[in-house]
Amino acid sequence: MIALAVTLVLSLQGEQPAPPQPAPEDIELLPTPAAPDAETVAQQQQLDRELRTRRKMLQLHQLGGMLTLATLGATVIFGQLNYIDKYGGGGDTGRWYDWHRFSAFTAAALFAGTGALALFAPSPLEKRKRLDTVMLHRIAMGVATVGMVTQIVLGFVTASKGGSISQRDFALAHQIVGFATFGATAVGFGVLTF
Amino acid sequence: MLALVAVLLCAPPVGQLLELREGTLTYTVVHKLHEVRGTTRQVEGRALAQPDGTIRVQVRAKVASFDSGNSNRDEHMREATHEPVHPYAEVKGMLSGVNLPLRQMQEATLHATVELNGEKQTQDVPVKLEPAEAGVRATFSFPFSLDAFKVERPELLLIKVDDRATIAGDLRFEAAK
Repeated sequence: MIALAVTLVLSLQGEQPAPPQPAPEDIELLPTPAAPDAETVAQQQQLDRELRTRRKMLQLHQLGGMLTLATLGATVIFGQLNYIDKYGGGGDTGRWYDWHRFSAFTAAALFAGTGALALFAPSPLEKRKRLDTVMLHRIAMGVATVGMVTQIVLGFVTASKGGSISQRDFALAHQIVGFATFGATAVGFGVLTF
Repeated sequence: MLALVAVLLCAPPVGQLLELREGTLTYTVVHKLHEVRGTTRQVEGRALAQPDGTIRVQVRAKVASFDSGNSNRDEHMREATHEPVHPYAEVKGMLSGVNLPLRQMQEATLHATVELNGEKQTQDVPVKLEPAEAGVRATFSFPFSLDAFKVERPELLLIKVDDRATIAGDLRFEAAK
């Protein structure tokens, strides 16, 4: 009887065509993750929207960063030329003054706008806080921000000291802080490329 | 007797179920200025080895669990792959010509379906199988196209990361208890 059953089974299996192999995507060996409810789906979609907005803002932040670095570099160069013109035997012609002033205003506006794009970008994902290139970028840009504010104040103070002996000291301080600010901005920019 | 026949006919396919005990999955994306590698150890996986030498495999990892050592890049990766909506990256597939237990190192091809960013792509993945303590160690690496998975490639300094990325894995399976 058992032999009959086995024969029957084997014969039945033999008659049947080989079962089709499931496509790889049909294989489910792991438990399927629970389907999210409507509220969770809405939250996921909101999160996704915020991330898209963040991405756009940070792409603009990158573009703003490049423009800021370029205008800040120009400001430093024009400032140095202005310093040499005024105190380095250039004849105090004042021909670089407006170049320096306009590039400085442009750089300050771009700096503020670029920083605002990063500060106000939504940040819906929890991030690990650690010393990485982004942290170094933030530290460097924090230093640069302090430098920018100092420069704006020092710039106006220096300009207001026209005719005074102390103007050169203020101009020197403005020059040193200017180079430091540009350096911090360049480090903040460059560190992200590693 | 009929009941016996029915049971024999309806019995599930005989096979050995293997559980993923430990392992890593690593993605690599390349930018002109640097290379980014993100690794996760939070990998789930199972394999069903059948007597005919085929092995069905399913491995997945939460996209959020990949760590590149740079929080911003991890965040960009999650943005680009729409992780909130598609939280898993997954590989399912089938190997053939592999009989367990392995006696020696063997190379095989996994005919796989890779899922990322809610998109599926079929891919042949070369896998190196080695006997490991009470199980099998599988190592693999395969390139894929980010564009094919509709991943909006992140960019730095207006330069996008390369379309070609790589996924590598080092996984150890053991018989399920």
